[in-house]
Amino acid sequence: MDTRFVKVLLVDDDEDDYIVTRDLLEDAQISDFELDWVSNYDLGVETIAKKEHQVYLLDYRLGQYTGLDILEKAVKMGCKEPFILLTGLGDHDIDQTAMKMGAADYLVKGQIDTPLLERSILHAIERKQAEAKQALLMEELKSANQELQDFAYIVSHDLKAPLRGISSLADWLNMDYIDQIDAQGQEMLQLIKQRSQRMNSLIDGILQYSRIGRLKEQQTEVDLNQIVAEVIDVLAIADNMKITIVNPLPTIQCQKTRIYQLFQNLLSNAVKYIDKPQGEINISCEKLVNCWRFEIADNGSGIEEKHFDKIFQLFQTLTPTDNAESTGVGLSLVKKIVEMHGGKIWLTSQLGLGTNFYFEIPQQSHNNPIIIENYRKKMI
Amino acid sequence: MESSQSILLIEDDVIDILAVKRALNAIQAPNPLFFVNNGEEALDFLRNENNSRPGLILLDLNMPRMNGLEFLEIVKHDRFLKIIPVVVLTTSQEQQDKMQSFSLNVAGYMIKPVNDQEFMQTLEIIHDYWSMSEVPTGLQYYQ
Repeated sequence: MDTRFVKVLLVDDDEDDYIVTRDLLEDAQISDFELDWVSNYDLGVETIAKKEHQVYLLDYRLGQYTGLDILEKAVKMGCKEPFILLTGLGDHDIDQTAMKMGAADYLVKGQIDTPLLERSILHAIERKQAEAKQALLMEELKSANQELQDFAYIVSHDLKAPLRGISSLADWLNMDYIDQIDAQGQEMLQLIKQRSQRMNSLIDGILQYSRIGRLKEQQTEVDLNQIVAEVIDVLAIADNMKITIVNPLPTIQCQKTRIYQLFQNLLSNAVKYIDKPQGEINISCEKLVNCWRFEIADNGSGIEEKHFDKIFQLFQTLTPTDNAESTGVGLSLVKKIVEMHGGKIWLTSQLGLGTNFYFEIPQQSHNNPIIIENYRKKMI
Repeated sequence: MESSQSILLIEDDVIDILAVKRALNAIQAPNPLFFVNNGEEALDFLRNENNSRPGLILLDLNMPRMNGLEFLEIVKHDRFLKIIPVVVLTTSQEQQDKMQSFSLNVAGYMIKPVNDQEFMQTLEIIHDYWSMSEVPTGLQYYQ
């Protein structure tokens, strides 16, 4: 939008204020301002609805109404243009309320000069434009992301039907024609069966992975000691495996089922790749400045450093296998969960000795955006 | 459901039809099985006076022409047909599908098992339950 010529509407019950404002704007250096004036709430709302102005100046006192009433009404009407509130000296609470309600700025009457007014107006317009642009980009991004997730979901869902068919047919051939198929043929049928089971696990993996993005869970206070205890309980670990919680784990703000999945995958992975007669897994944590760092250390087979990136990619496993349980989804799931909480994950490992996974979860990773927004506005 | 009452399977997938047939055979269910390939055909079947009213409907959700939920929407607002118990038999684990199905008064919602053995067990449980349960017979309807 061109800001060299700007149409401004002033809603003010005092004609003297109109004259002052008009004179101030006439002296403006950068832009040409055209000031329209209405003197009460009803006319204000009516004029705003016509959307002929690029910015609105609202007097706080408007008879039985206030400028905030207009602001509220205009926002409800879907008005996208910025508002600047004109208040009296020391109306601090009103200023704050105005900002919270979405006003672009507030100016104290009697302390306004031309540069201040001009700058305030131009900033307000520019900021609104930037916000609108950002909102549009966000919207595009969101819909592209949504499409991708839906795509993954639909495709994998549709893939399952033919797969089930193949698997059933292999079963039935085996059942009904067993005496007509020789050993080699039966082995082939068995392979069809195995492959379709594996593909089924892979598809389940995609579904699980895409579901994480599709369904956002409410963040709650979660006691990680309890979560880890549950995970260990469910994993039903063999007697030669020892899982130790080295120091008490914290209670953190997070998505509970996701954090459960995170520990479940890391711990079951650790257990799976232990090749020693006595397995040892240690879970510990450390409080850093603004996050918690967790460590899960095992004495398993270890991972070569060149594979560190690969193991977090979807469907990458380091062991070639027809094993339906090892799909290469687990660690990519873990990475996605950590990143969804605003954290990061990495590892160190020594071949033959073991692997240490580290991840960090920021504390209060999602500050109340309204507070930040207001703070930012106030700084400008 | 009496053993003479039929079971209507609404399913478009040939292999799934075969699976249901095999399963009902394996558990020696005496009820005659009819099948149609989508909701439209099912309505034609149910509204044809030559066909006796089935004691149970097994319904797939994802079908061409008229899908399972669209079929339920019509059947459950039909005073003659709404008394027939409908058990959904689908691959969909979507919360949305379960919600819609149950708000249209289905009598059950089963995920088709991948494994043949489990498929048979699922059908056995459905059949046992509905053989045990009394269902209204004759042509009366509920207003």
